Amino acid sequence: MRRYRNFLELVRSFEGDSSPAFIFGDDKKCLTRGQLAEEIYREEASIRALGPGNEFIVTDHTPGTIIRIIAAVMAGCDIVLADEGMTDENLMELVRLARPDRIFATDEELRDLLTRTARDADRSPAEAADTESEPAEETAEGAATSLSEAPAKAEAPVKAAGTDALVHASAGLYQLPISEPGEEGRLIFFTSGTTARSRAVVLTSRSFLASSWSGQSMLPCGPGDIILCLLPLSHVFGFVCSLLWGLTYGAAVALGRGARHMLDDCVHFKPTILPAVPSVAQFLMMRGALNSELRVVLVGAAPLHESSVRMMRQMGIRVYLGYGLTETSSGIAITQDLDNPFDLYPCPEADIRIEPDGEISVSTPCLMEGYLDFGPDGGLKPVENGRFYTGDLALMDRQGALHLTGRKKDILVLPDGGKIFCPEYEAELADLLGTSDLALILKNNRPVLAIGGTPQAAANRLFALIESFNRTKPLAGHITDILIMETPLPRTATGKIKHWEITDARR
Amino acid sequence: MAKLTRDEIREKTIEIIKRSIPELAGAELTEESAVTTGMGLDSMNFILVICTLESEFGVKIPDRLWGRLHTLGQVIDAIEKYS
Repeated sequence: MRRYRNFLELVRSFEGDSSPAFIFGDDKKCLTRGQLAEEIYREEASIRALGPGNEFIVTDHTPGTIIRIIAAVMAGCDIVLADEGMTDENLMELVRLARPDRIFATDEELRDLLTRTARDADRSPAEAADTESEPAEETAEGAATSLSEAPAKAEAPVKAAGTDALVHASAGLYQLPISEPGEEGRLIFFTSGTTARSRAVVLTSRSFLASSWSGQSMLPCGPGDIILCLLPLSHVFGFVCSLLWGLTYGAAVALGRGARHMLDDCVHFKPTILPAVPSVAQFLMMRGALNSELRVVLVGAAPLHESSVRMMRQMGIRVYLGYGLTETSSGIAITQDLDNPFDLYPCPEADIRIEPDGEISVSTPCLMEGYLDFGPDGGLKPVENGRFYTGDLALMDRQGALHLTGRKKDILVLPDGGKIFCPEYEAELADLLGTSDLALILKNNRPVLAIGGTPQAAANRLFALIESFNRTKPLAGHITDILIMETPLPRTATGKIKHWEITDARR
Repeated sequence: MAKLTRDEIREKTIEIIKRSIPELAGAELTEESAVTTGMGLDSMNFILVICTLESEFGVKIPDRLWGRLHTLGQVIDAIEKYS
């Protein structure tokens, strides 16, 4: 099994290959690997012609966007990936942070909006107001706009005082150390952030291809397989498991046709492998939307319910659950199709340890280069000693299988040293109050309950119920206050409550 | 067919949502109602509801906007815009 070091090596292996790389659209068009290589080389040349720069790419499931991602990295551009489903405001905020040289989005209206945002971020408010209606300048390719004419941008890199790394003079992405000539650019993904703000994670083609290799070692795919790509490519699970893994090891990648086809894409493309998040896998199964050719469902991002695993197995589908993080370029452990479907086995080269406090730490070739801090004193914050502390808690059994038990940040540490495991408290409170739209946060070292989607008029009833709840708990663990929000609590794309946003709102 | 007014779109949208999600039959829905957690819709059922609305109104809301529909009012805005 070949292991590739960068995208260029991978794309070279596609040359002259007539097997399908992508299947897409209502008429199931096919792009062969050989054609894909040619398209990537052409795109790379056009990006190089634009000159050095960083790119902000709004991801979707079109071949053009995927070609752009690979070509930009091969051309030495650092790229920030964002999802087309994000709100305009969130996309604009990311653009203001990253201050890229170019924006790539297939949606013209969105591209213009983000281009204006990026230009305004480099100008004074008065200058920005003067040019509000200025149209974005198109590149030759049409789907990207170049910001190279924007003022106040340093064109040439300068040496930062006190460091050996070369950095550009302006803020934003330029704080990344510049790649060596001939090196590929980096890919910057954002974590979803449930207990902390989203963080920018710097990954490389090398780390992603190492992740594809280790995934292939645990769960092989190959020619004849069709992998259905429904997941967002701005998430590492989607990028690796529904795209890169198949491209690297010979499977065809069927590009999902968008949310409106969620229910019929399986029957349309007839995949043999479906990477999915639990809610999608369950939804498709319950609606009878899984095709008869499907042999593997690979679930990531959250655990799948045992009953769903059982039902899929009864349908002749093997179910694999992956565990990994954005910081590790996707999976570092995966279940096997064995008696216990939840035993996670470490991937090759993933040196996983359980620390004395139960936290999982890992050292792996798939590890990120570091976090990117966009602030004025920011830059790349590398991983110390090559070992990453995941924040997840687990046990490892005698067979070396990993059993996840919770999140370190799910534990509130009280002033008396006592600990509250939030998921247990929250499940008990959800039963008592009849809503799962609640979260426990810490304020002044005491637990506070936040409830969403509830009118203020319900306060007296809630306080009475909490009083009865408190009587069953040690004093230090009593809930001291209730934060009632009429709107639902803020959640991530996968439905997890963003505790940090609630905590911020309390400040 | 004559273009529907906003009030007519709202009325028909609420009727379709209540028909699609029987648990909402007795609920009071306003333009401020959140269309995901607030209505008890998970993201998959939300997709089904939007597909039904598209079909019944004969509109096509661009895919990229689906993730940005958070309130009933925003759904009505989109139907109105793409009618």
